[in-house]
Amino acid sequence: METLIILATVMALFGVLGYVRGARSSLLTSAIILLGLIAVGRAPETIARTINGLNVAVRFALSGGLGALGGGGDRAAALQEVFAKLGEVKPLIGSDGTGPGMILIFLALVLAGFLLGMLKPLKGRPSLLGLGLGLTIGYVLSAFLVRTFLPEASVGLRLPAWLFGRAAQPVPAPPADGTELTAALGTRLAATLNSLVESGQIALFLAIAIAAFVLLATRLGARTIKKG
Amino acid sequence: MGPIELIFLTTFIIFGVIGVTRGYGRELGVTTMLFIALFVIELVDERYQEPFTRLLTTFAGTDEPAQAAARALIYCVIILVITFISYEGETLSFPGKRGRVFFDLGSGLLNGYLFAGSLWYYLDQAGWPILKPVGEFSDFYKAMVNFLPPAVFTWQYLIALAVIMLIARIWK
Repeated sequence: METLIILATVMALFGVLGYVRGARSSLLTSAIILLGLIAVGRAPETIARTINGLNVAVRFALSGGLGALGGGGDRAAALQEVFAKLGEVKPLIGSDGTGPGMILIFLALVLAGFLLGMLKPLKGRPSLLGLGLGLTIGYVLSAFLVRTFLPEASVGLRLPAWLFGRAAQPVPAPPADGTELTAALGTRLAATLNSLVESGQIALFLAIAIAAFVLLATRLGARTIKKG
Repeated sequence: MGPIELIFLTTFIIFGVIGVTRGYGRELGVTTMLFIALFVIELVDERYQEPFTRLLTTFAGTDEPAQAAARALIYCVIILVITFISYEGETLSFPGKRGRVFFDLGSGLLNGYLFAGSLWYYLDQAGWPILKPVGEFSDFYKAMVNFLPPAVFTWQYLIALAVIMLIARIWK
């Protein structure tokens, strides 16, 4: 049931946006999201290594690592102090493409797709092709969301294996009834939030969400003013 | 007295309603000011703790709980004043008019989170010098404290968010 709710919501949202924004804009948005998801599906290890590496780099810089590298005096001792302060950094994404960092990837993909799709030359009239593109990318994104956040879901969304690689493989067996699944969703959400807090990435997650919200709101607002 | 978090959740919702009535273009100006206020507070708290503690000693004495209470009250007063000025005075106005409920409500709730969440955090840190709660804190309270703005964002994040807000303001 949860799978269908996610599917209906995401497809409806992307379908409406695709229709309103027109074919060209939807094409670029869909292409960006699709390419990102193909990369996530085919090379989860590389994505995980890159994101985890970036995570360590950001935390290194925030712990004063850049100052230690560039500062005078005993650089080795300064770096040692930074690494001690840094402590153990938990990976945001596992090598199988799961973990709290996937939220960041999905958010970044959708944000990049929509912001680039707002470019002036792509502006167009509402179109049915845009609706189709929106619905398609909504389906693919839903499949990834279900796979990442509801691996126990009874209804798996099929994806072409030749395109998405390992991400298209069938999901594990479902639980006995819907009540267990709802509980599993709650537990998973709580676990995801807790792991974000524990890994110290809740700030990054919230900051990206706030920045995405502000940029979307102001870009849409700017478009309205230009039209008016 | 009911759970203390109810006061803050109500404030949070009230800010959401204010957002819907004022529009996100004006609400985001308040958000920017709140980010800057929190950035200053967090920076002072982290980088200038020693001189600030010396200053507190002059009027709160050397008693640690009294100092913590004074510190929390000063931070709360700063946030209250900045919020009042931001809502009452002429502040930054962003592109966009009232009417997009998702953005209006979202920006109002964001302001509510920053305002009520920060007050909640600083008062909690000081052991509630005012609004003395009675009894045990609920599990919800204990969980939420980890997600309040000053608990989540260091000053680096806050200045980055303030810069993003200003970029969003001038981006034509």
